[in-house]
Amino acid sequence: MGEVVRSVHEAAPGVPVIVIDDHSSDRTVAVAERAGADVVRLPVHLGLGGCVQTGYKLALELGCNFVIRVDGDGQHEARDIPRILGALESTGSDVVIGSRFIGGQGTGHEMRTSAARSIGIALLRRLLASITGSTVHDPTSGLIGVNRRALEVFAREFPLAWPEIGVLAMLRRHDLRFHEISCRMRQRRTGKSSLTAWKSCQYIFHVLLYAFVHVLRVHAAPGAKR
Amino acid sequence: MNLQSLLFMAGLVICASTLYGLRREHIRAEYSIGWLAAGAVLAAAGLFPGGMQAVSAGLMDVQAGFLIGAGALLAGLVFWTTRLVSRLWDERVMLAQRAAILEFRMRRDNQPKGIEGEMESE
Repeated sequence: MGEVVRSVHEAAPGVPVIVIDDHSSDRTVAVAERAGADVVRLPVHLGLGGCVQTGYKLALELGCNFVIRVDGDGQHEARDIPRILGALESTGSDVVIGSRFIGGQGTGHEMRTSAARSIGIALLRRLLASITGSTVHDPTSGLIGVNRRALEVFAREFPLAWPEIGVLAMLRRHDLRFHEISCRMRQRRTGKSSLTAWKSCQYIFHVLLYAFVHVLRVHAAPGAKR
Repeated sequence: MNLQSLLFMAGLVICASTLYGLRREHIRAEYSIGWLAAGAVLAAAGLFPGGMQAVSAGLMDVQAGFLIGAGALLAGLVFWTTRLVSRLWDERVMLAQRAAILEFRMRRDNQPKGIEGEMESE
């Protein structure tokens, strides 16, 4: 965590770094503060969705125009943060996703995955495309930038369970434009991936569920745009 | 064990579990009413099949009728509980977030230059 905070400070000097501590029992708070981050300490464990929304709510209250969310496991290159910010400003997109799976051969940005996982991801892309209306190459990315417009939406409404899929469903419902740029990924430095084989099955189930809920909500909201 | 005994036992188990939950404060009093009522109905159906016969006369077999009725009541309770838990979960998240943000801002306000100060200076 300390290294992640320091690398973000180096990549984006002068930009406030806020760590959301999900009621952890380890030394996350002390390490993050020592590295120069401001820490929001949740009084109870809320999970990923609750954590991310806490950050968005705080950022909105503090008057931020852009927020870049970075996972704390050290998988992302902090050097990509200015590129995410640049993409938010230059493309006019409301959400910019740092993708492991685009960038083309030879750029060094593409992520190596197993054949089984590649098939799973391809299947997910097709399912998610039905929700978002366009292809999302890296639906589980933990490097995401949002502008003020998206911030206002996410601070008000954010999926607490399976937020990665729920957010993608929300993009279309709220007419938010998103853009993907290639980003470098490293092997995680701390912790384990939450996507086990069982979780992968749950993931696909939830994609289908969110697709269904998305259709229900789009039709339920008066005047909602598809 | 025949159906009457099964109904009676099920009713007793529901009532006993609910009372135990009430005693240990695992269940709120207002939510226990429905469970106690369901348990009482089941136990009564098992104990007094003759008495219940009059209620459901001409409809269907008395035990089956009460079993279906109790099942429907339980399903309704579970649905209502799910809605309640969902609402409480959302409220819990909202309150925890509010508390964390307020605590963060209070902590920052007590420092010489908080994050708002950093942002203002940019």
